[in-house]
Amino acid sequence: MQLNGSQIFVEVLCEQGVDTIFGYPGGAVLNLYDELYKNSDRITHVLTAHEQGASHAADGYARATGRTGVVLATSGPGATNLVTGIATAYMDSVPMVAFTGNVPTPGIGKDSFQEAYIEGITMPITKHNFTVRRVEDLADTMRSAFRIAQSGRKGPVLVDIPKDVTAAVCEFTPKHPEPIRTVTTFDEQQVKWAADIINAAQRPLVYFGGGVRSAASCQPLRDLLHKAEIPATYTLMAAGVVPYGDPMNIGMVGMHGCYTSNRAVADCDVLIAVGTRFSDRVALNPRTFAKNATIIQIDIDPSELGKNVAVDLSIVGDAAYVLNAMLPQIQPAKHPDWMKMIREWQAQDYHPVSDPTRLMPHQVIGEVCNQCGPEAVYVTDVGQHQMWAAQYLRHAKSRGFITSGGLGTMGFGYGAAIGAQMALGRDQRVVMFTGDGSFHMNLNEACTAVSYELPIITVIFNNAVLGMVRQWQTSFYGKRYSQTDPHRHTDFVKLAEGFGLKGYRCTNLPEFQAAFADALLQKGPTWIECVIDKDEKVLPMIPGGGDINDIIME
Amino acid sequence: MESNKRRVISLLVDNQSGVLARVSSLFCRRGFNIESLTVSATNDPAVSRITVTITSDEKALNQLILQTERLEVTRQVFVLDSEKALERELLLLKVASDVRNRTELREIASIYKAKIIDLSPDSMVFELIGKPDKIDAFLKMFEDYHILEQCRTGVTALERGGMHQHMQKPPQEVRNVQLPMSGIRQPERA
Repeated sequence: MQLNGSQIFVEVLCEQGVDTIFGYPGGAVLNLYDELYKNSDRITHVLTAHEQGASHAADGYARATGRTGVVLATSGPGATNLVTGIATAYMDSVPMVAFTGNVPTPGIGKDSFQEAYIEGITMPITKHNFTVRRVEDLADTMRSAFRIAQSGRKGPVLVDIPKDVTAAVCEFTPKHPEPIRTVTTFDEQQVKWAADIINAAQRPLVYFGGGVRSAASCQPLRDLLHKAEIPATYTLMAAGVVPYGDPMNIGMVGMHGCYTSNRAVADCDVLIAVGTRFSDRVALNPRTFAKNATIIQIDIDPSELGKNVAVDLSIVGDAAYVLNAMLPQIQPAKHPDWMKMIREWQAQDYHPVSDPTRLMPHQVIGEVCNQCGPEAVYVTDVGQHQMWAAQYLRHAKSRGFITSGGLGTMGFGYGAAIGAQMALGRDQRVVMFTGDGSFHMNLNEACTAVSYELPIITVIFNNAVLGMVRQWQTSFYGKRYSQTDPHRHTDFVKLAEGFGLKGYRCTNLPEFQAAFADALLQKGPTWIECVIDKDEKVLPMIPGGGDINDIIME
Repeated sequence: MESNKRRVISLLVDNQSGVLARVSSLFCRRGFNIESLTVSATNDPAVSRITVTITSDEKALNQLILQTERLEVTRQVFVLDSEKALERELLLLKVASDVRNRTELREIASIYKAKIIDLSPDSMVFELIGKPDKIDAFLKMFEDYHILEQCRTGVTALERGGMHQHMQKPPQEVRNVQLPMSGIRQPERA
């Protein structure tokens, strides 16, 4: 059948199973938006306040579900506003397809109004990107984009569509989505070696990352831990993969990981790294990281193997397939001496002490968990509150913690929470943690949550300073607080009212308990400002380049 | 571990616009200086060959190759085996000349088997094809002459004999990729 580019755009989205997209209209995408208007029963379009919010929303949608998030923006500034969101998704391997309009092909390269060479701009922060120059190529290019975003190590793909292509007409043939290519094979000999090494281990430790979640290999991983009694530590990206309270879960590793995990990494004799890249926030010193261990690394991306830390045995493959093949070869085992050491370290670990005179982050987070139960989805911005949330939340769901890990994007949270809430429905409880610094970056998206009646509860840790940077200045820069004390006088309750949502302010725990309980009853979004001390720190901490010997516990 | 060494990498990539930008952007991000670069179509019109010369150690090179293989446009990447590689470069060299030095210039050209492809009253243009070191040696002979213009194509290279094992990697197949660090731990991790 003969269709124009905009009709093809909508048809291929539907063909790929897309029912929700995030975006912002503009001149170059008028034709696409006209077609979306006609097809509003097939595709829900979520209009955000800013394209950056839309890109984070598409990202949050993908992280909450594992499906591909879709964002649409106009040419020029619309496209460049997506850049931070695309880079965020790229660093955390999130499947996303970004569509941008562009000026009509005859105007490309002539500094036309709202023209930007977005293909060139996003080349290093996408898995791949395309400019569609002929309407005949549009459908297949879009299909490739969805395939690339989901295959192998996932990531964002950008498709740039000039305006004349959205109007031109060509023959369109519907197709079923291509099966996603995943690496189902791996070297069986290496898996056998790995199993032999694990079976012989006295002090084994599993260290896993976001790849486990991407590969949907949470269950085989948990089976491995319990079959051979292997304690496990995780990165920020994998919180919730092994639930809180699981005896094998010893907590997060890395710069703000717990003492037990970092100590276990230093003392283990076999380290099994699954779907993780030994980033500089975990392997703070690549030369001393797990220096007493034989390291086995399982990853789908060959370029990650041995990239940051030299490993002894590496297996390229999808973690689900590799772990399932490995499991039957693992002998049931117990490591009582090792577990005893770990329990002793846990007893010595950092535990925050509540102070009745002030509101403390761990109390707030604990109270949120008490009131929400294990089913809630938590989203964070970036900074101290993010680390507190990672440390103190009782993570129970593999896709229940949405945070910007690799890029560390302040302002990520609100957009991502909108995406997660849209993906999971209004009956799903979504709670966003932020700090006053991050929140000021993109709080404009509150208007989106109001428009769509999304019951997102935002918990703002207000210490009136840029806490994480300030903490570094306290510890390493002689308390010279350069530009971390902004003297803002934002009244969050009034600001909330201005947006048309309900705001609360709390200075102690009973106030917070009451405010949160009330927020749970609201239909629309709410935010709760928690006034905390500006000297509140994230602990423990291992400074960059250090190891367990450098840990700061107080 | 091998130290810094000159290496010639052969990349088979999709023959379409933007591919060179993607590859060179990756090299740039990793901090490699491209010493020489040639790009052309192959016998398969859908495929281009990029031949790149860089200086690198083994570890950084492995990492670079694996990251290059990750690009959607990359079909195959391999480092040429210096024992088997046939490397050639083309030089065009324009030298100021007149009646007085024409004979000596012709002498140099004939020893190096360079062709004179233009002779004008005030200049001569030589064409020389050879390995990069032969071209370097030829250019050294002109240190005392007045070079007006010079152009080198950069290395282009193939390996002797039929298809070698490392060239027969099926395109875009992740699973057979050579693992960089398996086996014994590298000494630097003492």
